[in-house]
Amino acid sequence: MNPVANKDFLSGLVFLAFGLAAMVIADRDFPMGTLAHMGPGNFPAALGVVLALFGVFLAARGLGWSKTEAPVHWDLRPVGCIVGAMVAFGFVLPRFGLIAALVAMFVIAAFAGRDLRWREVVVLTVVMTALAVGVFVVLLKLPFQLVPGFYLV
Amino acid sequence: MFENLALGFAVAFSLENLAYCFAGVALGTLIGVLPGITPLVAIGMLFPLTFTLPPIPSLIMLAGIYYGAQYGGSTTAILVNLPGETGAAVTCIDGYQMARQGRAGPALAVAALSSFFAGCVGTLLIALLSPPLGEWALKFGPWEYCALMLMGLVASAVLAHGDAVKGLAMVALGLLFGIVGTDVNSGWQRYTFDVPSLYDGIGFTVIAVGLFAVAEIAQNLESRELRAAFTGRVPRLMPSRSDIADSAWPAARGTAIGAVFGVLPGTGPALSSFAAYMLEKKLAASPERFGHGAIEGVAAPEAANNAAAQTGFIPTLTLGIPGSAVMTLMVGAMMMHGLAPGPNAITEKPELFWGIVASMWIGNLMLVVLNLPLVGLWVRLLNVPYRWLFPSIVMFCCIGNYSVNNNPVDVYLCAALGLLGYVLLKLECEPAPLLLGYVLGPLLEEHLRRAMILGRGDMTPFFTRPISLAFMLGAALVLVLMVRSAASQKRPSP
Repeated sequence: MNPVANKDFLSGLVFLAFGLAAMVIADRDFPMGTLAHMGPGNFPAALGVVLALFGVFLAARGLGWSKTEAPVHWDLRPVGCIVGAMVAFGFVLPRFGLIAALVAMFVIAAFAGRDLRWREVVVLTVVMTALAVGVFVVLLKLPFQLVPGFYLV
Repeated sequence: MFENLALGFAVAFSLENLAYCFAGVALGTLIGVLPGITPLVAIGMLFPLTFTLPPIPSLIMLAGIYYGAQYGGSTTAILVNLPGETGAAVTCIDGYQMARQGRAGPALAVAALSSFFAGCVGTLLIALLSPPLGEWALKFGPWEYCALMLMGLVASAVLAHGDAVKGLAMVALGLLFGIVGTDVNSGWQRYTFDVPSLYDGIGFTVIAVGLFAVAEIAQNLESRELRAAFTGRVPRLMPSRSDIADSAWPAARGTAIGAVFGVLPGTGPALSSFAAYMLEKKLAASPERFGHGAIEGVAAPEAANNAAAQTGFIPTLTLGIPGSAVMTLMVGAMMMHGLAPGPNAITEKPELFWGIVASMWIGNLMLVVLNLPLVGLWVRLLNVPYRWLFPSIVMFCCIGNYSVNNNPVDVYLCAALGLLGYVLLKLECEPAPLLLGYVLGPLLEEHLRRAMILGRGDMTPFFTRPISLAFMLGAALVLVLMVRSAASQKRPSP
């Protein structure tokens, strides 16, 4: 395990990355203006500097952490499945409709949990899809296509 | 001021609005009571439901959701020792002990009744204090607004859970997220990367749902055991006469503490419920009962929590500056309906302003009426396994985000922010200050630019105008306190 992969150091890197990106983009693309007439780039550039400084501070503090400190434990499967389920929903819905999108979403999301029980996944998918159609399409009249080319409202 | 309240009640008491308020309370409690779902997640998840409504019913329903979710959080705190939010953590201490002794019913009832009492006082305070505060705020120039926002942001970062430096960095990151989109002054596209969805800025639901719901689900799924489900029954609901007598004064004192803390931006309910609990423990004749099911330990923090939540609406509505993460959600919702909360809101849209105030009281009342009889149902919901819950929450998040613009990009953005929020949570960076920064970002920049134009680039008015100076000193004071407490408890180096 990398000795500097602790919470302070890594969060410092995240903030530093965002701060630098904000600074560079603001400097490259937006007019700065003057202090009396601040341009669109002035405030974000200043924020970028502040954020980068916080990042440097945290990273430096992280370097001072002892090596025996427990490293961050990453478990990428749950978060990966949740994010994947959402992306699948967004991808499928405009192409194949709400029902297919929800089926894809529930199946992928099911892999995020620890104990996977297929029968439950099927029942949950059916019940929640019916609920979603009832609440969002019938009651709230959101203009979703249910299956390709078929709209209820 | 009473004619104002009367106007508010006239607005809120239409049958339609009452129905929305009722639906909001019911849904809010339903979702808020589900284990592993904090009030913030519940509100963030449910508020796309209110988008399609006109502004007044929508905000009334949202107020109902807000109270329902808060109360749902207290229910899980008492019954399963699972605090949904920092404010409820204190309720857990004695509430859960009461539940284990078979006194879950009285604990829940006292929590609801003292919340209701605090809510009534809070509503009166809003009606009393908002107009003068709003009038006072009309004297605010851009300097005062900047300084006040700065104080609120610093306070939210420092008083949040965990490390203050990380909190401040999260505020800065939030401010950056807030200014994504078209710059109102120059029309310049900032950080939009040619994505049309970003021209209007990062959507509020996208950020709230991504950072709170998605990130939190991912983290919950990692922890080994989420909770020991409450399998017992709630035998007797109503508290005895001595329970009421024991909790009356603590509730009153908790209300007073909460009302004071709630008005200060950035402090919010968490601190007040903790302070109220500590005070009761100090005043008690036998402090050793605390931690073993003392009813005062439920009444006082619940009252404080709710009073603070209520008076938190005062700065939110009159100054447009939310004091807590939940308030931030409410302001975001108001802005989505094109209502900028602020000193002008009272005079320009009185029926809206007082309608919200009145409906908050009604929401509070509904809570008592609805929840006491339904406790048995809520208890049963506590046993829903998380593996059924989380995919359903993801579904609401997806549909909610998609429906705002009918655009899959919002769902992708929400997923990306969920990933970022998850990483930040793992690195012990609290998302609440980020959300506050996000909402205040555009406001802060706008007032800052105005201040610089009016002062021709001169910074000194920030420190020469008395009110602005007071806010600046407040911010500095919070920072000094943070540095001192950090110095006194250095990280032990092995």
